[in-house]
Amino acid sequence: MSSTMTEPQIATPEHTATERAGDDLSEIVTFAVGKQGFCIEIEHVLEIRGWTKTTVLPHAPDYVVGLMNLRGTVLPVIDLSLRLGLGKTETTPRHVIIITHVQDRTLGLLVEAVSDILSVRDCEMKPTPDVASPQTRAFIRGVYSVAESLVRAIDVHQVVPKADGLAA
Amino acid sequence: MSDLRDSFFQECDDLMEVLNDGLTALDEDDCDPETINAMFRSVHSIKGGAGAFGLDALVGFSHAMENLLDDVRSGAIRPNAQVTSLLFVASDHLSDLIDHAREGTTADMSRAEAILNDLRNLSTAPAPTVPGELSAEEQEVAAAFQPLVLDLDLGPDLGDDLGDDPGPNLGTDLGADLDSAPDPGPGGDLPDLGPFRDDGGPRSMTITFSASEDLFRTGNDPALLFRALKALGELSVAADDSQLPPLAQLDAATSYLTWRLQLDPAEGVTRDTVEGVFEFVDGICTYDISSTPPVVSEPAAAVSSGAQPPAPAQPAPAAPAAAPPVTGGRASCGPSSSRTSASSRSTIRVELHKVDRLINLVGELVIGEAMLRQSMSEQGLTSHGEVDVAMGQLRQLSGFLQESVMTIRAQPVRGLFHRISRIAREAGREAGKSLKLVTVGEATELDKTVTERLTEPLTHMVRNAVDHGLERPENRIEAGKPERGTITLSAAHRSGRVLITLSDDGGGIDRVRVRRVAEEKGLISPDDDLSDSDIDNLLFLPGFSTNAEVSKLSGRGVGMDVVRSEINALGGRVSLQSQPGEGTTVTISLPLTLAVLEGMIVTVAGETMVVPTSALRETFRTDEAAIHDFGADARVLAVHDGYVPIVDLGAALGFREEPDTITRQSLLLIENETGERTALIVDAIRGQHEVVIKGLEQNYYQVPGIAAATILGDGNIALIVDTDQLMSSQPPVTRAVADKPAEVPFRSAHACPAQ
Amino acid sequence: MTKKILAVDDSRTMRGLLEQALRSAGFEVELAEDGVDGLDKLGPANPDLVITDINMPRLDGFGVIEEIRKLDRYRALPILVLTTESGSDLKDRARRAGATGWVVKPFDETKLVAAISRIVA
Repeated sequence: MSSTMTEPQIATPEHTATERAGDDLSEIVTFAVGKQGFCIEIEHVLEIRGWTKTTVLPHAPDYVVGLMNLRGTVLPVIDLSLRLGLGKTETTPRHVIIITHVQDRTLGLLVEAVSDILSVRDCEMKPTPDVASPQTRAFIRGVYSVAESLVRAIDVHQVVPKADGLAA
Repeated sequence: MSDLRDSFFQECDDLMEVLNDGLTALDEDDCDPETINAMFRSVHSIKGGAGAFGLDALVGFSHAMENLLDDVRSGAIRPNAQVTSLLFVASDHLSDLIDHAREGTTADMSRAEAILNDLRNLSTAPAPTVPGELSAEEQEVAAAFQPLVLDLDLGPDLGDDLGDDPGPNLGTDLGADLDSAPDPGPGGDLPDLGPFRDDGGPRSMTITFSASEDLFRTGNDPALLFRALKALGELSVAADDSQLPPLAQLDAATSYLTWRLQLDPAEGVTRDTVEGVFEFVDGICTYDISSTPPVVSEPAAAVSSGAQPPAPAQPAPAAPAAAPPVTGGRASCGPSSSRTSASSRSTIRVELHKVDRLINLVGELVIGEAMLRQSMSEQGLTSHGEVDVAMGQLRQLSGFLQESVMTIRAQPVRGLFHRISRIAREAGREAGKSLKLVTVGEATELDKTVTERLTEPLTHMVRNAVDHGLERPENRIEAGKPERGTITLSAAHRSGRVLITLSDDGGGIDRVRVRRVAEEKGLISPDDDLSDSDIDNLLFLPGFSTNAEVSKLSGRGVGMDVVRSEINALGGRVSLQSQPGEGTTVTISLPLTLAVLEGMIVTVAGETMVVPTSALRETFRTDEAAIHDFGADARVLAVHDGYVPIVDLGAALGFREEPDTITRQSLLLIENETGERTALIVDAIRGQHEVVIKGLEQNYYQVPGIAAATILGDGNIALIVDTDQLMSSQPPVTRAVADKPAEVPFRSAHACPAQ
Repeated sequence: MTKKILAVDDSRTMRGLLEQALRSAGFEVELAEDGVDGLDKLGPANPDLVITDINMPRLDGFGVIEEIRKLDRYRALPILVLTTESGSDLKDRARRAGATGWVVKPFDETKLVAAISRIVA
């Protein structure tokens, strides 16, 4: 299997009671989709893998790229860009699949690149600006400002393919 | 404790199986005493465990059942049809009570009462008890092991006779009182609680004690009794050896000593406490407890009727050297041990997910091995002799490993068959039809998941058999059949699959009526020329129900179509045979395991796919097959006995448009269990392989037209085609229609119907 | 020294309950599934006490006791009978077979341990 494999295991930073008093720290994985910055909570991320060819699923919504084999587990891969209304991804070997675990299912999220793993305070999350399109807003919990750029926090529960979208 | 409780309920399941096996045997007039014994023991063990967990309803009910079984066991009651039938009902109810206890819900006590009454009426045992009260009553009896006060003046003669008897008191309560009753001694009124009843503080007690040889024979030891007494307060012990004969006359088995003990009881120690110490020796010793010190040292008077002149004869075991090897114990167990009916197979219980994980890993191993083999052949390594041999071994070993691991999940269908038997009995009662359910091949093993998912379809099938299959008793007699109908449920392995058949000896399918109903419902046209088997298969059409007045039993909105789709979902097939006047047989054919499947690897529109070989009948090359255009956008394939619609697999799955022309491709002739056939166009056939099934539902959803996925030797995923579902997009009587082209233009299979 | 108890019962549940009660009281426990198994384990285990159920397949509790008592070496081995039957006739039969005492199921841990301590040296 040809793929880069990163195990994002970042030690929980030590923090004192006073630090904690403000709010809880969360760790987020930030990545790029359609040239924009997004993130999800690290507890949903199992691992990150390089792009591999997927098997086309009949009668699937367009954002379901297909099925991939993760060490014997068959899981669907979602084109996050298309899911977020940012256009279909033309995959290259540099694309990355974030393996996530949501609602007892394992699925892959196809993204352009993973940027970083950051610690943020929950209180730092700001509401989604009104300018975002309704389709984007549906998947965004809020935004963080990280190093002068905007990171959109994805609601992974919303990203999971819905059963009703499957019936042909 | 909760572990033990779980373990109890697991054990209950096993015990219920033994009970049901026994009942089935009894129903077949097999009255082997050991069968009845095993049934008795099962109920007894359920009662015992239930008592330990305070499950009173269960204790009460199993107690009543136990009584009846005890009567059957002792021969007091003959296990006739009435008894057997009641035991069946009771066993079903017992099973319900276990379920209720397990779930912590309350059972329907009115039903229990009715069955309990029946049990009691049949059973000879007295003591009708209310379920809830019984365990309390039992405990009370258990606790009340105290000397019984019987004022019997039996006179010295009897006393002497008893005295000559080596086991004079036979351990009965009566024995104890024989000793004490005539005793005129200082503490003569033995159970006199007087001095102890009303005094607040402890008072000195005098205890005289002498042992019978039975006390030693039963492994009791006076020294331990004294130790126990010592724990109750200040104790002094004196032995009276006056009865000790000269050594030459001494009988080692006889006790010649009498002890006098003085106990200053500690705070809170009552006479009951002191008597409790003597619980196990009551009746095999003489003892007397009094609160006043004996006037003189005249203890012999107290034991006069007990008659053993005391003497020590150190009771305990002599000569250990003479002991035979203990391992000989089994050999000397006597006749009862010769029967090894309960040959205890050694088993362990493992959580299912661990097994599944193992199965998955072995699946990976098999795939890994295939990947290795493939990449080796791509690099031209296979010609190397030693590598080839080693690879062959690896392949064989991983195959064996996979096979063995699969058997772990397999379990006998016995439990399932018992559930179905019960449903048949209940259905028979409701329908007023007397029936006998015969099971064959209960030991046949099947994947646990398959077994579980078979319950519902089989339930429906057996209800159908009782409700529609078996005739009313009067009609059976008229037809010269036994009044009691027979339903046979059997399981067997056949050519890599498991066949489960349910047959009845009823009237068979009323084809005239089935046909009429199908016509009324517009499912077929009155002009359709249908064979008998075509008509029988109409029963599998969605929503078909022959019963105008929907029966209470089977008319629950579930038809044979649901049975079929359930079985299909398990990778199985259902078929039906019926003989008018003789009965109907429904056959379910299932794969041995859900985990592997034999498939034809094909390519379609650039995708690799697997078509299960179980559905595959024949393959053709398009340039050699007789293909005829049919209508505007359809084609049929001419086969020797008719025409079969052609479906492009790639188009059916939405991978491509329906091709205008057929080029050099391949055709797979597939067939479902009703005999409907379809020819699938694929681009190429790559070969036949056993593939490991990977469900899609775990991380995704069911996909129309796709049964599951598998991982190929190169690590890529291939989808496994659900041929039955693909074909169900065809009109119901395709075959009839296809045989006579011109009537209904069949629908294109362009879009698979959504589930 | 820790006393060793051989508990013979065909019910898995009862064996579990016995094992738990006895171990928590500080005894060493050996379990057997029926009478024959019990006799098989008697020699190797060499227990200080045997607790046996009455109703068992292959060989019942009475049989177990009789067989044990046939062996000189175990003539004084304390044997407790475990039974749901509270009637005195069963106790009598057990005693005739050579049982030292009895415990009625469902047993109470305290009573069980008290009964044991009364008959084990």
